[in-house]
Amino acid sequence: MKVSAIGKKNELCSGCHECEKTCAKIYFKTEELERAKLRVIKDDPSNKIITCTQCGVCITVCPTQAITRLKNGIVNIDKNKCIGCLSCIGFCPEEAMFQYKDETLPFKCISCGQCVKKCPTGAIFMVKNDVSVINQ
Amino acid sequence: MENKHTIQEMKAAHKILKSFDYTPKPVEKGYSGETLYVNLSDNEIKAKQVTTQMKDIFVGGRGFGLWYLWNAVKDTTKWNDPENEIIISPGPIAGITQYPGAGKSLVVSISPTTNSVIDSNVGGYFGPYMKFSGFDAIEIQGKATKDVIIVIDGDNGKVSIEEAPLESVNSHLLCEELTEMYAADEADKLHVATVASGRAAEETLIGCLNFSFYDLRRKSIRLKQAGRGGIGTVLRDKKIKALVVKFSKLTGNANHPANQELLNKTGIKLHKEINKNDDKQCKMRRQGTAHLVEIMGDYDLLPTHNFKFGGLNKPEVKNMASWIWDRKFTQGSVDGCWFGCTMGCAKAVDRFKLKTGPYKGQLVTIDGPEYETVAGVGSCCGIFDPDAVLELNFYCDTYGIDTISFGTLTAFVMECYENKIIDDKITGGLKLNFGNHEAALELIHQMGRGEGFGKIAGMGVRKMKEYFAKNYGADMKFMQDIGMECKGLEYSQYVSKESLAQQGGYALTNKGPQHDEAWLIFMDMVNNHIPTFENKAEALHYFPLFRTWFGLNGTT
Repeated sequence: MKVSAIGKKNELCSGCHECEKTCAKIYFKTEELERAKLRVIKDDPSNKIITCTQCGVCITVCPTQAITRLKNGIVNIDKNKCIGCLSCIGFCPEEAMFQYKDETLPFKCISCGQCVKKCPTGAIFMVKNDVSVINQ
Repeated sequence: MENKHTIQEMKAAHKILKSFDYTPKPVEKGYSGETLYVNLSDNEIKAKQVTTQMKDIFVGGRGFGLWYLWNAVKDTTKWNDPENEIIISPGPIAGITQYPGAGKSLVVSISPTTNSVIDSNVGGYFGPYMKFSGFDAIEIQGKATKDVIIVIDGDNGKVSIEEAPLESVNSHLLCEELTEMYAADEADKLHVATVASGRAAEETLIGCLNFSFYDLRRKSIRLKQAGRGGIGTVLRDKKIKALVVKFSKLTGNANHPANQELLNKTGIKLHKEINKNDDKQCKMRRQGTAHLVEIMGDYDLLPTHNFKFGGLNKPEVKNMASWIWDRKFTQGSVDGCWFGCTMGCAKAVDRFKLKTGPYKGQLVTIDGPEYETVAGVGSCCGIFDPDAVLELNFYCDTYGIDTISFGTLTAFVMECYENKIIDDKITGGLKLNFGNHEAALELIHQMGRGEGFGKIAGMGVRKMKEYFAKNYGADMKFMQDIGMECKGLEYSQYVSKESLAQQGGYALTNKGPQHDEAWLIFMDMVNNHIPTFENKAEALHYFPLFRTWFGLNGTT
């Protein structure tokens, strides 16, 4: 199945963090970078961009089946079913599942693409990823 | 032998003997602040306060169990006296979802096999759900006259004692029936947890408790056992069919820890370490504790033929090794016995076709086998057929008996049979040679039916020694040599004569030779961490204390 995701070229990233600020603002009404659903971290010589590939490994480890693939292929967390174990964070191969301070509800990228629009260097862009994990 | 009644018929036949309304208090730093007292002789139900002193001195879990038992019994109290209690307490840590291993309940009672205090550590959702329903422990005293269930409805603040005549007794059916009965729909089954035992617990002294949880992916219940010391026998002696708890409001911070942010950080760190390293280290996610079989075999510690030998020295013993179980277990599922336990050692074999007994021909899900079960009903009995081990594992669980005691006592009767202490006349034709899994299976079915030699074997090794000496003129000295029990409890599955530290631990535990507080064999023999007498003596001080901490807090 082909799914929309955020693609990346680490070498093009200038480290301006506009993507993270945009994301945090849209979803949490703040510019706090720890609230962003993607991350840019310093990783010499270039920056490292962490984004969700929508691979679905988190679906397979969720004990309450709170994480599912929506019809459009995006991997989504149902906050009413989540019991905050944070297993999904520990098992994400991209380390692209996040959580904030003492909150126990994790959050992740849903490929809305708003960050891509703000990126001044083209370091992030929309792609179509092939995924094998559908739902479990 | 499926139950011929529908769930609606079973529910309609319930007669409520007593109900008790309460307002669940929110959990604060791991404590709800109250415990539940139920007396089945006079149907009294009340809440008791958890005092600061109780928390300071006894912490919770096993500590609360010991405290309540101390207050409930006299020095003359026997296991089947009405004042004996079963106390289940999850401990302050139990119910945390971020940190693997944090979902354990501790069960305390007076044991029918040791006539002393026993405790048993178990997973499943019952303990945490009970705490979040408002109770840090349940204390059950007295005896019912007819089969009852005790229901804790944590969503609506109601506890009831109900006569429940039509439900099955064997756990794989009973827990499924009750889960369906108390869940509004399929998704709601996740919010129901039960405790039950089985027919053989009524007929033997080695009964275990099964703690159920619903497996969303398999769409069936799973069973984890509080195995040791016969608490299932106490449960059935009190005419308790099952305990049920319903709680549907679980959240990530339901335990209200002192520092959730630190807990999140620490839990994520451990999830990541398990993800990265487990496949290269213990393989708990693929094999559970069965990964220990060949390690114990390599160091001559795997009991074989009633502890006579210790190794994988025969080619057929390789059939018990972890890679066999790796293929039998359904891989890729979520096998934690509490939410968020990414260690996930609660492995299961699915769609196993039973070859014997009342459920012959049916396809079932079998929990395990864990290391202790592989060694107990497998190598210790000279049984090296993996499917026979699975079938024995299934029937031990559903009949409600402890796989460790069943394994050790079956190995004992096999050695007695081979040494002509008992013969075909005494066993009723069971040819109990080492390796005869058909005879072992018939023995367990006899325990399930309460018939024949199964009734004698079900008394356990210590009582069998006395019985064989008295009735068959058996040589007590020889039986003391071969009968692997201490204080009346059957040995768990380590050849402790190889390890002074483990043997010391087995003999020093209050409850008898159970590995949890005594598990020094790995440090002693495999890692060689405690080579001197001084090292071993020191370990015999700190290790039991360290493991007791687990039992007080409700973790693994």
